[in-house]
Amino acid sequence: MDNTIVCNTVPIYSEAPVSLEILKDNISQVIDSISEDPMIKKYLIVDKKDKKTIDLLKEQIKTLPDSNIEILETEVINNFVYGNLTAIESLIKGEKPIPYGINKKLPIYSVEELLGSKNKAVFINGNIKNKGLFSFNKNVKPRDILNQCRSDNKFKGMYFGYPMGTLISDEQLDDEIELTTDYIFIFDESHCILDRLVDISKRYLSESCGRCVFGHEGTTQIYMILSDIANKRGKAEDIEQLLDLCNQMRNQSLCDIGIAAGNTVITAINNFKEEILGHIIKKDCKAAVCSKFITYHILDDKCNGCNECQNICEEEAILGKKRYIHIIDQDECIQCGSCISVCGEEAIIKAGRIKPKTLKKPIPCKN
Amino acid sequence: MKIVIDGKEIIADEGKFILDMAADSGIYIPHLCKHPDLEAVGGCRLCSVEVEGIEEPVPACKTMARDGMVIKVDSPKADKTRKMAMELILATHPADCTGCPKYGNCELQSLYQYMGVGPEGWRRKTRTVQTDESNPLIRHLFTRCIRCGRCIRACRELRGVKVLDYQRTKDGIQVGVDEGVSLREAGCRFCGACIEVCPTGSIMDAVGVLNEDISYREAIVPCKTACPAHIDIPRYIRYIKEGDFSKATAVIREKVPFPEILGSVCNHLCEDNCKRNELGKPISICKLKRAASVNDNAQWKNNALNSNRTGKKVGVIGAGPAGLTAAYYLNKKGHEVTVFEENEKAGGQCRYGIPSYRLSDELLDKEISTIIDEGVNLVTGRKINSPKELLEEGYDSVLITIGTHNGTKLPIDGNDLDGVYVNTDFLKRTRRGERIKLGKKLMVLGGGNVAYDCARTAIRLGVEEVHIACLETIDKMTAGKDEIQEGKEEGIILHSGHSFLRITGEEKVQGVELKKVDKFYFDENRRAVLELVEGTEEIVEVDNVIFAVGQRPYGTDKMNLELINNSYIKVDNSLKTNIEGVYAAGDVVTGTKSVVEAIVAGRKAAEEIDKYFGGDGDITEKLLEYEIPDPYIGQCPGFGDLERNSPSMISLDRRKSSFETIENAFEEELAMKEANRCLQCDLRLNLNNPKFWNEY
Repeated sequence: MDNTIVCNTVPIYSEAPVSLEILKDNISQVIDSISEDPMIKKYLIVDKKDKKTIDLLKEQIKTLPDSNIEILETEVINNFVYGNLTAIESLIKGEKPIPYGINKKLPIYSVEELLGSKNKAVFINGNIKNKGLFSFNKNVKPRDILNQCRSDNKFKGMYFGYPMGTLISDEQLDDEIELTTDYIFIFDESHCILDRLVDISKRYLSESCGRCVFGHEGTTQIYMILSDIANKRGKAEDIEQLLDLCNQMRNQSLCDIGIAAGNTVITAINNFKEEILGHIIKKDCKAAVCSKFITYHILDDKCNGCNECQNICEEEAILGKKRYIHIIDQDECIQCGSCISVCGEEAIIKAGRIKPKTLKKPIPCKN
Repeated sequence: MKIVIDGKEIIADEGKFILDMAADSGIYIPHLCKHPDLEAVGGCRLCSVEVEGIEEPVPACKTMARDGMVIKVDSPKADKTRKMAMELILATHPADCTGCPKYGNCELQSLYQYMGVGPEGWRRKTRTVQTDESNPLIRHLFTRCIRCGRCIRACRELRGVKVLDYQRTKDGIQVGVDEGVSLREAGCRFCGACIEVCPTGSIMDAVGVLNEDISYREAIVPCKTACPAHIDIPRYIRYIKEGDFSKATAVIREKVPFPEILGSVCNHLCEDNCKRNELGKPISICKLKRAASVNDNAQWKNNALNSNRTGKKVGVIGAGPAGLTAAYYLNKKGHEVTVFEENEKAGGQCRYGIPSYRLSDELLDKEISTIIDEGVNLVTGRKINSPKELLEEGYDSVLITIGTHNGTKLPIDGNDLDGVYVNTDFLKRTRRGERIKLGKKLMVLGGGNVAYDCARTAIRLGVEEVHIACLETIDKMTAGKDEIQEGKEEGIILHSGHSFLRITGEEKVQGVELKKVDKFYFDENRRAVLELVEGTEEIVEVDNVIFAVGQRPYGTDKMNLELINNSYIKVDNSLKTNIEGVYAAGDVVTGTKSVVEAIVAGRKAAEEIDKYFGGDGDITEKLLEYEIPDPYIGQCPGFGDLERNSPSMISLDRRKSSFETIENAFEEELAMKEANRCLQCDLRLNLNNPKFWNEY
């Protein structure tokens, strides 16, 4: 990779095409920057399917006949790997972009870096008013990020995606961090950390390339263990085992995907141990999100016997008839939640560990 | 430089990884994804060790050893990493080893037993993948795959074929071919490197490809194993591919002194066993031998075996392939050899049994002269009736290689009518240039290659209608497929699956009565059983009949030797007859066999007689320094579909009207093209096998 400069435009997160967005607004600047670079070999990596961008780039390159820039059209199957230099190196050699080592800071640039920006653009997701692209100073306090994206709900945690792989709680909001990821997710009271962690670990599993044991088998185990916990099959020793595994992953994974996965789980456990452990010990999902832990109930003082819930329930789990107060047969209920969505009286509620008092069998409505 | 591993000081050269350095010093560090011939990746972490001054364990396969390094294999930290890695692998690997074809020979199994770990305590889930047996030669059983990537590195980096790679499927990451196409479509060269490097039972030879009754090395290269002379076939084919015909000839000549004869008439068992049969047609191994030989510059002579003269005299009776081969090697071992031949020319069955359109006089003269030129005496036109004659003349040993030149007739009515001939006689007289009186129609009785030799000779002599009748059905005939096809082209009328009841006629042959065979087989006592279809008798009118139903030795009854079945010479395992110093080899011992088998017998006789004289009996020749073939065979799109190439033949008209050699040697370019079809099965044997822990 001597004498080579590479600029990657393939999104690390498909839902957060940060580099691509900036590229589209700065095509000529990007081409100029690479073309002026003293390196001999110059590559621009672009998703093969993104014909529009490719055409735009080609047109721009035409205006600089001696620019010597090669557009490398790649078939994107995984995204995380495009953040790894060794993967990019393989790609340039005509192989699949599969990492064989940890990322080093070598001449592989994001569009933003190429343009010399001091800021880092990032895509923020969660229950917030203005989801989307933000730009922060590379060194930033999480609280500043939080303040920018305005949420009405009570803050719970902030997930910094790959390659940072960190999940912080409100205690770390004022610790300055170096922002290197394209993707942030903000958790509030409505989110269950475990539930989100299962999703995050699934993402890491699907992004792992399969080349190393701790990366691939490690993410496989993380996903299986977390799913088990979320499905009420957790064991008391699971947390220790996860920490053990993730510590090894941080040190022994071949590339940063396994490292970030391990780090995510470790920070999540450190900051939200009680909430995660609750699923195992107390059999409780505090946020009432993990479906295996919640039950649905019809409040007898609110039900008006309209029968809408019974009509929608495919499991025939709702007992009663018109003008009767309905009840839910917990043995039949699969916690799909469709009854809640049709109830106009807000008579149906989800419950975690503490259950409301309800009727044993349907009785006629009082009014 | 000096390093310390588990308290043991090691002095070694710089520039090596810890794992390799330890292995060189006989210290075992567990490892799996590292293969001796493949670049380290550091994926499995089973080779994790602790290095003083580094906080966390490092992979020994990828960590360069440095002077003064203190390394601990036996450390709790490294042990923890190694064990967890193995547990993680096992957690998604099928639990039951006993049903696996690699059982007992599996690196993974050996390793986890050594480490004493299992997957207990982890979430277990086997990633089930359908076993794929749709490809020729190679079986994929990827349920067992542990993604060590050795096959991928072997295919991409070591071989340069670049067919296998990591594939993302809906069931996770698997080894496979891009776009999910078959190995053939992907351009696989079926070299088998992937099979060889797979540590588990995930990639294996297809069922039945490897002969389990012979050694692994023999089974891997079936052509060489099937060849009675064990010529290093892949090695010479590779030289032909590179256009180096002289080196190819040297390789062939290490085992046989008649490359061009064999390249013309060998029965090529090698081709029947060629693995390329699984993809279509075999490599044209036989004809390539001729191509090598006709383009040879005789550089092999520089390395030929040469010994001091011993003063011992050997008389060889019969100048066929067995006798000449024995003479050739005995001469090399320093003995004075004289070959006696009753006919006017040397060659034996090759000259007087095989017609000149298959083996020309020039070709025979050329190859025989290389033997005579080495200093072997040849006396033609002298018949030796008994080995005693030569012993009395002062020969220290006598070898009898007189072959089987006595054609046999079947005991059927009319077998002595005027116009009946036997194969040996007919062919020999024709070769000598005698004009045998023949009518317009002729029938050969018999279904082997000799029957075709007779029939095709008759066509060339101007017989208008030539028949062949034999008991066997066409698929069971012993004649080669090419022979049957070429005979058909030349107009031979074949009555396969017919018995010959009698030859009709009063004094002269008038016809042959045939009857259809219903069943023809050998019973438990190995006796032929013949069942005929009633009412299918027919008489084919012919003027001549030639028996081509076997041949026996001639004149052995007058040699005062112990015989078997009235005419075959009885020998022991060292080819000794019952008379001291007298040996016999070839067809006269074994019955009629192939030229290559006669050559092998001749070599064996030379070894035995040399030992009889007190020599070491070693006739091995190294005519060419072994050159390690390039493992990087590269890509060849459509390799699996490359069609077999054949040398050109002269026109059918010329074939039928003269004894001109019917087939030309391969043109150089075409020979190279054909040689390129070789799978190079032998390359697998050059791969280093990783040593198991118990081998340290």
